[in-house]
Amino acid sequence: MRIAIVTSTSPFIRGGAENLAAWLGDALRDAGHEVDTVALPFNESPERLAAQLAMFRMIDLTDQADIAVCLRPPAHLVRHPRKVVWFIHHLRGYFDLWDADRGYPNRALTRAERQLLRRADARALAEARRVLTNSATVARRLLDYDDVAAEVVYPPLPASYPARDGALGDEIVMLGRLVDHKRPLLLIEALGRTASSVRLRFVGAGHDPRYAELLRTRAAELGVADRVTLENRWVSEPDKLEVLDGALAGAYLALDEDSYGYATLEYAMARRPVLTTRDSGGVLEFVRDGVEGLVADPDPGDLAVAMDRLYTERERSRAMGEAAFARLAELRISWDRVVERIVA
Amino acid sequence: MKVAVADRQAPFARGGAEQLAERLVARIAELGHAAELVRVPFRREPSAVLPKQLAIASHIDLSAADRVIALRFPAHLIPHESKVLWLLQPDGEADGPADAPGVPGGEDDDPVREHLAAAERRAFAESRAIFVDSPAARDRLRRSHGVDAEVLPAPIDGDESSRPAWSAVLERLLA
Repeated sequence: MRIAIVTSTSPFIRGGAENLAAWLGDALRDAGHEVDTVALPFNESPERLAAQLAMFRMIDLTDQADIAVCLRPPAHLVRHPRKVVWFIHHLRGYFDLWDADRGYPNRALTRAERQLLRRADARALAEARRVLTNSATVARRLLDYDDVAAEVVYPPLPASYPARDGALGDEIVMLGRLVDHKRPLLLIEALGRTASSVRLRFVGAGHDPRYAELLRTRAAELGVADRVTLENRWVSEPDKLEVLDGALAGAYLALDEDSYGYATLEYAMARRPVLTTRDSGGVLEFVRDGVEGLVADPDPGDLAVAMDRLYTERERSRAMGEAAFARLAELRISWDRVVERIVA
Repeated sequence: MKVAVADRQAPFARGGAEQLAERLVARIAELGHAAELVRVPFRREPSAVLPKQLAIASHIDLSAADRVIALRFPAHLIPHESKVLWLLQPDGEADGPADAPGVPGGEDDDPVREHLAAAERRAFAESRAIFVDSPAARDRLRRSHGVDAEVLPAPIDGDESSRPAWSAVLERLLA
């Protein structure tokens, strides 16, 4: 079949949705389908939103593809009689983050835009042949905001990603961009309170070099600079695998995420336990406390206890790493399933 | 510099123009710029969708780019303050500049024809520079729109005797 993958982009910023579209394209091609991706820039600011929604709504792929799979919003507004929406997040500034730090302020214009957005979403989701989501967290929001019951289909890593089984080391590794809401600072504060010789390594770069400097300074103040590795640079895929192969555990404690995050899956593929916090959102669908890793309170003291336990109770850490790997199959995280739910 | 190359996309169709757009992006990136390809969904038929195509193009927001290089209809209608047109007509003869679809029919369709013409006049007026890929296209554009364009043929790798090299083309498009 000819399958069009539809998504929105932010020009010159490569995000998770681009990876998802590329990997989904590969998986659909592997299954014998013809794939093309329709990707359009999207600006969600209140001044532009109405026109931007209209632009997506004007795209009609009816006779140009057999199925349209819609990813990043507002891709689901396009027209197609066999539209499958894989809903990965709301425009959160107008929904759960509304009138809060990361959302839009409650004003006449933003209220009007929000109302328009909800009506457009309702119409577009009602047209869809099927609504899938990437997490139970987003499924809950779809039920709350849109009264839509969606089926959870977890997004996998690319099919070529290797499963491994290296010996446990001493480092807790955090993969991902060095940005505040992923809370690398909280990990450093926690390291300052640990009793063991556990180490931390940050793999990834931030937009702002001053942030990496701030982290280094804090580590020095706490007297743990010699137990923190922070390179603040882009790391190649093979180098990343090597780091994970020698790691003790993986950390993912972003605040209130939509889904479990690819880093969580990368830890699981390396058979490493996952360290996270109670307020991290989607990652808690993957990690249960004491099973696939440890779920701590989001404060330095409780995190420090968890870090020491990962370091000292190594047999337990190894078993939790195995459980994290087994969790991938348990949650049916595979491209075969994704393709089946889209094409069925 | 952040450079957006804007072209059109008829889903599942891929020919010489699509390959050229991808090569252009790759060459710009080789110079150390951030280069991105943006493709406007496009269909030639039926002609009734033409106003919608103009509307889609006019709402595409490339304000994050420092330079836009637009190749084929309707990408040349994307508004941008630092826009360069390189109007490609890979099949030679085309209905309009930038390979715009023609508007058939009689007087009934005059408003559509005029709507397209007005949008193109605006696009030509707001562009920093206008290039076409053949002398014939230059002459047609002068006749139809009174616009003077510079001829800049698309490079063919390995044939620099009759064609400009990529370096010369990029110098003109990024100036």
